[in-house]
Amino acid sequence: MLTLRTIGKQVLQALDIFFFLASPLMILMFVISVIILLDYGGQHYNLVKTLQEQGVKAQAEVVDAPPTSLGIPVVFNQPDYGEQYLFIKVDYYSPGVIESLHAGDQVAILYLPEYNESRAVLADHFTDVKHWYGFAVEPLIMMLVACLAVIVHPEVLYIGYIRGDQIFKSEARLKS
Amino acid sequence: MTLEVFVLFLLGMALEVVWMWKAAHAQAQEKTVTASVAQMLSDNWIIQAGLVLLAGAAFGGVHLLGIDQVYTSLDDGPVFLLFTLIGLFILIEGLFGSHLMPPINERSVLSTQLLVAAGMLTGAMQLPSTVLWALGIFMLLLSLFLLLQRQSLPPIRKALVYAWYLALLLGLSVMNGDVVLFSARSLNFTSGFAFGVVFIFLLLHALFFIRFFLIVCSLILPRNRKFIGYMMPRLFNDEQVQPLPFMLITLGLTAAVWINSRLNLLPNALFISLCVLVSIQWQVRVSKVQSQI
Repeated sequence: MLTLRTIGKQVLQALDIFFFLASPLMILMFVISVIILLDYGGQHYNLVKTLQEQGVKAQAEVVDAPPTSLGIPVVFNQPDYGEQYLFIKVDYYSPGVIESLHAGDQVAILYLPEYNESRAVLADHFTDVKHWYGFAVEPLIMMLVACLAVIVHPEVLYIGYIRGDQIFKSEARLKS
Repeated sequence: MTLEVFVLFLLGMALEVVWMWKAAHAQAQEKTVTASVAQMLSDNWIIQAGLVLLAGAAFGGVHLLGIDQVYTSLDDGPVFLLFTLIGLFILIEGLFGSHLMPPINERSVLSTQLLVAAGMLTGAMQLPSTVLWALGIFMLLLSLFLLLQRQSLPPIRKALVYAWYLALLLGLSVMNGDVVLFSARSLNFTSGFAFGVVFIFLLLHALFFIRFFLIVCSLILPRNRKFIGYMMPRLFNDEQVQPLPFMLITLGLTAAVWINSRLNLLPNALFISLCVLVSIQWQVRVSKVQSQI
């Protein structure tokens, strides 16, 4: 019992040291996650804006359902170019919308011919695309992990504002 | 922007770093004033004069070479390298440094809030009406609280008010649309210089906001709360806001924003950011209570 408690204590101490040493990296990871979040958000915002301003509506046929890794392939006849394949990204829509699509179905799509995009969106469900915040999930998880690690040992954040002895004396006192 | 405007943009950034350093070390300088007033003053003036001369030489150089009207872009090698270095400097100073954040007081928070509100009302920030109403009510309540409360705030509340002030500055940088201004072709000398000053000020504060957000989050654990007591006196001094001078500042700033929008001297959002910056740095100078360095 005593050995188990000692091992547990040592594991906790090792974790504590790990979090202390990792905290500067975690701060950087948090900043990078914020940058990624802003980048993803900006890209999505631009896509929605461009689709609203320059998107072309067309009637397409669903080639295959359930979706591939790229999305649901659809085919339609583009004036000047003939038959063209595009993919509908499934993340934007609720499972009900995706399940309702079957091979051979006719759907209204919105695409960007000017940008040579391989993606298209469902024109009837454009509000789902507009209000999609899925891009934020991964960066937010990274931010949360980094934030939790920094909360355990935030001392590095105070560098320059608090003298070293003010940080580490009180830390030592706490441990003793 | 053209190369000649880019030189002024860089000068604005360099001078703002010197001004922020001066504001952040106001008390440290005052301590040495008795030892050598002239020496302290001359050091800062020499640096500023040196920067102006350097910019003047670069300005003359690009004119002599006939490349003054060449447009700069982040795709150009030297500009990209320069911005990488500036970015690294801002990253290190914002996340781990402590030498460029000017200390503020309640008046600074209120005047910043007022200017951001003015920016929102003039349409510089496009927000849904419900968000605008919520922000407006929150700003009004906070203003009343700071105006009516006559005691200095405890450190944790100070930290929350300071975080709000940083969030306002982040809002200002969004309002400014820095990237749009950087690629603007019709930027004149004044706008280029002002943009440089505002750009580094807002970017540093935005980075510091991330750091401060983590600090505020870390206050969840009681054992971390003692640190904030040591830190806040460096960032937020106890000077209480007086209603009458604040009213005068409010009127002055509102008039300045109105005159600028009428005369169209600078882009509205840029002018508001400049007003925030000047009012914060000016208030550090006139502050009766010095922050503890």
